[in-house]
Amino acid sequence: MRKLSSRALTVAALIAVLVLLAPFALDLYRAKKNERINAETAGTDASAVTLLDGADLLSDEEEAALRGTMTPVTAFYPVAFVSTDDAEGLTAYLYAESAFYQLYRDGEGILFLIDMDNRYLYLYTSDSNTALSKAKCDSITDNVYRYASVGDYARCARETFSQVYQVMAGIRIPQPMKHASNALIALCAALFCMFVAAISATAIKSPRKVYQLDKNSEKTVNLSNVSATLTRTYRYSNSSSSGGGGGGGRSGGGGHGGGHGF
Amino acid sequence: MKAFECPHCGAQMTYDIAKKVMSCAYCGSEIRREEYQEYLDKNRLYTTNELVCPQCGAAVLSYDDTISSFCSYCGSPVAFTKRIVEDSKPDGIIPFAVTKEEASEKYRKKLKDTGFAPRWLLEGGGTEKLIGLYIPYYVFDASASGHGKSKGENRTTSGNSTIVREYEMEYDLDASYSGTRFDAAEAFPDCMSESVDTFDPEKAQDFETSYLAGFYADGGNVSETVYADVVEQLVVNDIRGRTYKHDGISFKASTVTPEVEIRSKKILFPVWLHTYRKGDRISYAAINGQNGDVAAEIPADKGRYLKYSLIVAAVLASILNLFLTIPPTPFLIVSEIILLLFGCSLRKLTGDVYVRENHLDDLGKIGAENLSRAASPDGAATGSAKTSPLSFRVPASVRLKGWWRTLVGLAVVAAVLLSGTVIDSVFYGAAAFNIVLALWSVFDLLKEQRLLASRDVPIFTMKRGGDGNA
Repeated sequence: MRKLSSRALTVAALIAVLVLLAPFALDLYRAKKNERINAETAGTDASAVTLLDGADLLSDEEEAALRGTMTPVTAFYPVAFVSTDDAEGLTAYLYAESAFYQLYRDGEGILFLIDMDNRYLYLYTSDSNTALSKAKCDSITDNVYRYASVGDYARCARETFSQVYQVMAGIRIPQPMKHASNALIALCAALFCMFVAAISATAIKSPRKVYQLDKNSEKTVNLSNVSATLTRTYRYSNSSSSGGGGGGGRSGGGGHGGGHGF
Repeated sequence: MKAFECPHCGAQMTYDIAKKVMSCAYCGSEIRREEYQEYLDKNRLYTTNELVCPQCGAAVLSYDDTISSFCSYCGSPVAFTKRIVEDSKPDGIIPFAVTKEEASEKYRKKLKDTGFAPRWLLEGGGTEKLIGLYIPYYVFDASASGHGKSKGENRTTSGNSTIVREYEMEYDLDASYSGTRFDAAEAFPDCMSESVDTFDPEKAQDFETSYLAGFYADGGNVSETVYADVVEQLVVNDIRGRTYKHDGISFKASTVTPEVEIRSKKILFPVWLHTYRKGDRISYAAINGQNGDVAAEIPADKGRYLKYSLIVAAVLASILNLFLTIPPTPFLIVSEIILLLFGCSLRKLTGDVYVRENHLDDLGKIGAENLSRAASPDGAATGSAKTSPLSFRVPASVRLKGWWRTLVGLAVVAAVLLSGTVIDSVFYGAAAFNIVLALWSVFDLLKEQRLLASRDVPIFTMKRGGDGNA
């Protein structure tokens, strides 16, 4: 009986290893499948593309190439590329939000910012864009920040919009670090939980619990001739400070995004 | 225990053939044989065989001529030395209610249910290594009385405010505690005797030697005074730790020092003892002979532990991949938290192992007077400062053993965060380094768990009286 369960345990452990490695294999498969822009779903509205290269990061040729990469995304939302070398004291997120509002007001869109002042990339979109979630924005900027770090801003922007299109079109982007970090956290949590189970299974009292009064033993403690002399009386208020009036939310349309330093 | 001890000095008495009296060579006392027999009967002594293991020195009593070929305390196959002794009758006995086969079945079930028991332990769990042993326990009753003064407090709410009235309390205290017990057997570790002690002492019978037929009994050579101080401390701690109420006033008796009177009686409790020896280490399992409860030292099998962990990890990772995308910086911090968790666990475990290996939790083995010496870091007696088994002092070097990886991880995290780098690979690399340190800790944790679930082969230097001639 034990021989069988030991074998079953080994088989189950091998399957578990395969389950842990499966997401990586899937990412590899997707990357090698060469999923590219599907011409049938790609947008063609060049007027919905906005390029504001305030920091003068791109040459004319690079701008033209970037427009070519941005245009397919217009099938879903208007798109904008913004660069600046003066964030006017704002964080990259606030600058992106402000730029988005100036371009689209409360409307929909996708904006990619290269902030040379804060050395930060930010991908911002309207709240109605549920496909491009904050996590996805973080993943995309995680994947492309290296290009900005070495000064290849054109490639950084092209890769960003290429991955944005894949996300909007439902094409899965590789997330190797997500799978690796989740696997390591899961492994550590499992090792710890199993260790606690192993310790609990050994039903020997730990040293600090050996010498105790028996919990079933009879205990009686009586007090008699009790006298109480009042020494002090004081009072304190129970009222808690009321919360301040709710601060107003920021004005302007709602949006979300993610970014990465470079 | 001594054979034929002198009622005046406790030394060995012999029969003087010429004078036809019982004679003590140590104090010179001479007692007529008939009077000495009356003394034996009055002091409830009975004759039995004492079997001493030549390997470890453990001694057990056997009323009949049954001699085991296996020592249940050191796990060695031995030929016992045997002699006849007089031993004092205990105040009671709980007879065996669980058969050997039932005990073996319960033990094997326990091993299977844990899921982590190694194969060699499961295969060695047969009935041939189960010994039926009566372990003597001291059952303590304590009564405490004293006078105390404390600060008390009464709180009432009136509208939006709370009114607090402080009082000076004065009182007489009277307490009684009964039923706390510790084993009187030096050879049986205190942690085992406490773990298997789910006995119902209400079912104790008057002692009759016939109960011992077919079983062994540990003679119980630990004096009750060894535990009396512990019982007194426990009683005082309990009195001081309670919250009392009088007329709505709450107070603690935290400064009271009551006079405590301790009484004890010795009762034999039935235990099926299983011993498995692997090299220089042995593991005990004790099955309660009254109700079948099992207390067993089970070292975790590394292979089974890792396999179970992989299975749980796969399930957890699949769930996390559905919703969690952790950025590099939080991942680095999570890795340090994981390292901290393992470090805390290792610290606690190494402390427990230190206490166990040095027998600081086994008063029966080292005795109260040696406890201070054993607990002192330099091994010297600590004089009037009494080290209590209720609070162990573990040397800093032992406590830090589990912490160094956590500190290294903390340094790595601080270095990465303070460097201001934005390169993901630095964060992931540092986090992976911390995770590797945590995984390294796991192997140390398993090693410590195996140490805690076993012990060195014991050597006992039990007091023996007389010349030992069988």
